[in-house]
Amino acid sequence: MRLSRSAAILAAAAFALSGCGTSDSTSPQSVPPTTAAVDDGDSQAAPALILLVDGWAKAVEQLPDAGAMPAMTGVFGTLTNTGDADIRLVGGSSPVAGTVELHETVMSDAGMVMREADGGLVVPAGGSLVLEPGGHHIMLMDLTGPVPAGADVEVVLQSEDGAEATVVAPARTFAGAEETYAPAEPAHTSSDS
Amino acid sequence: MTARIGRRRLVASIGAVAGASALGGCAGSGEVSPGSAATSAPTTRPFHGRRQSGVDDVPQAFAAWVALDLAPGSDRDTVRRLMSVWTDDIARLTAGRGTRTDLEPELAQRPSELTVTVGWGPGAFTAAGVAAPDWLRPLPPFAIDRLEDRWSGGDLVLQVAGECPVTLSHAVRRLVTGAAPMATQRWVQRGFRETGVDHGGQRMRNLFGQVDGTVNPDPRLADDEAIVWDDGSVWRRDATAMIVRRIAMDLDGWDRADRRSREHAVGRRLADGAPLTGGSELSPPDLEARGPDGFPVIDTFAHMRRAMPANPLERFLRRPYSYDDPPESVRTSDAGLVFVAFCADPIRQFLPVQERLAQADLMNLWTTPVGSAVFAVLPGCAAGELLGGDLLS
Repeated sequence: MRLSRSAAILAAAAFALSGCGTSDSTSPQSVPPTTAAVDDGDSQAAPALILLVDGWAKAVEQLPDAGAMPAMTGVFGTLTNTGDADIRLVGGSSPVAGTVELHETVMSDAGMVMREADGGLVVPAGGSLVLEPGGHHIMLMDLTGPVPAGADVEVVLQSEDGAEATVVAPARTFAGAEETYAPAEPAHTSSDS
Repeated sequence: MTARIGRRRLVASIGAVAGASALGGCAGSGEVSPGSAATSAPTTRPFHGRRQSGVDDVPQAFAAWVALDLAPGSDRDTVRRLMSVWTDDIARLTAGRGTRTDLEPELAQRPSELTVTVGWGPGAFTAAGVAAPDWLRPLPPFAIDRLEDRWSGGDLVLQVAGECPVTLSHAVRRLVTGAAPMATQRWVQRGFRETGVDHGGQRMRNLFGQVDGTVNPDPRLADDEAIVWDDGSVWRRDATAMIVRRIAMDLDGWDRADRRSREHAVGRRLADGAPLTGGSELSPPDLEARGPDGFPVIDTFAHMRRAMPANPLERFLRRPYSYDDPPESVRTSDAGLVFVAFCADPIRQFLPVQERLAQADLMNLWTTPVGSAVFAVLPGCAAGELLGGDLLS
């Protein structure tokens, strides 16, 4: 649980109460995330809720050799906004990455292209946004170390007005999402994900 | 159109509530009209609990056993991460949901009594730096054995069982690929059996046509519970040992034996499994009875006589499956039994029986053990806990 100046970031109690040994709920008995009261001086505003449901990160067992292209990986799952207002996410950070970007997939002349989402990713009020290989995703760039399967990856997401939300995605072995990345170009493409 | 979050609270969870949809989606009965009898039939079996499923519950029709070896250099962290992945994956799959990475979750939607039972071989305990149970070691070699490495040993085992072979195939694939690179597949065996016949009614039949498992304990009875489940006096409460023996059965040789010879070999009637001395399947045999010729009615080397417990400790729970694989050569079949047994202490309960059968058992004329492995089935876990968590803490 971390608090920023502009917003209270609450790691939901669902972590401890949910699916066996994981950071996610698979159980219908789970209680809703605790919206613990943290008075930030704006108690009249209804709390906005961003959840990462069924989240995961593609495991990276070994970093590339020095000089090779920097290691990266993706974070996937379903971002859910249980609040009554849209939330625009514009960036993020992670202890395991030098840079965090929000990526979208768009159709171009060259086929489906992944690129940093222009204007961020919007999670609609009362709705959700699916992050998946081949679609929208959170990109962890310049990994600072391996992300082994079974480890938890923490990502702090930032909204357009500076609020932060921490989500945790367990790393999983995954054969897909093998993205190519050309640093000289503004976008990277994927052939099979 | 984005709301200003500004001074509001932005609450993030680590993963969170799956919309309480798990139960609704897991039944696999969505195409059954409400009110029909089928909707009341459970299609899931519990994963969370103090004991793992797939042991003393009614055996499902299909099963696979996958033994895996940990990658070289594995340590406690490796084992913990693997248990974290499997615990999560199994909870989802047995509830009718795909795993987190699943690109074909539709194949998980009909759980069809899916159970996954996780066991550790000696290698997992070594890697984790945890003391293994005293009984956890390979069975001693027997003269009848023709063991092959490809069916023997392993650092870990998954027993995946269910009523739907499609669901089962998908679950096995997800669990094995998800274990990489922490552990890789060492061997896999698959089996099938008659379903729903283990408790109450008649036992299953093996591919020799014999009724199999007549003297099985009923772990639901208090007196038999300790046969299967460790009460804490052996190793760990709610743990059990899993013995997996692959027994090749010579169907061609069996074809040449007439029906009386077959019954003579096992000491039971083929029709109903009753002892040759009469009664019904569950009747006690009269081991002293002699026929008109003066020979024992139940042969000195009949399987059932040799398998009889010499003392009340020598009992265990059989949960066997048949296999019938494509033969590798010109033989007509590669068939047999995946003999699976559970007990609290295999050294005291299983080994003496196995030794007697290896010394002399008429059935050895047609059966050959070709694989053998022993695993420690971990106690179960509650929601929020890790399989093996108490060992790894």
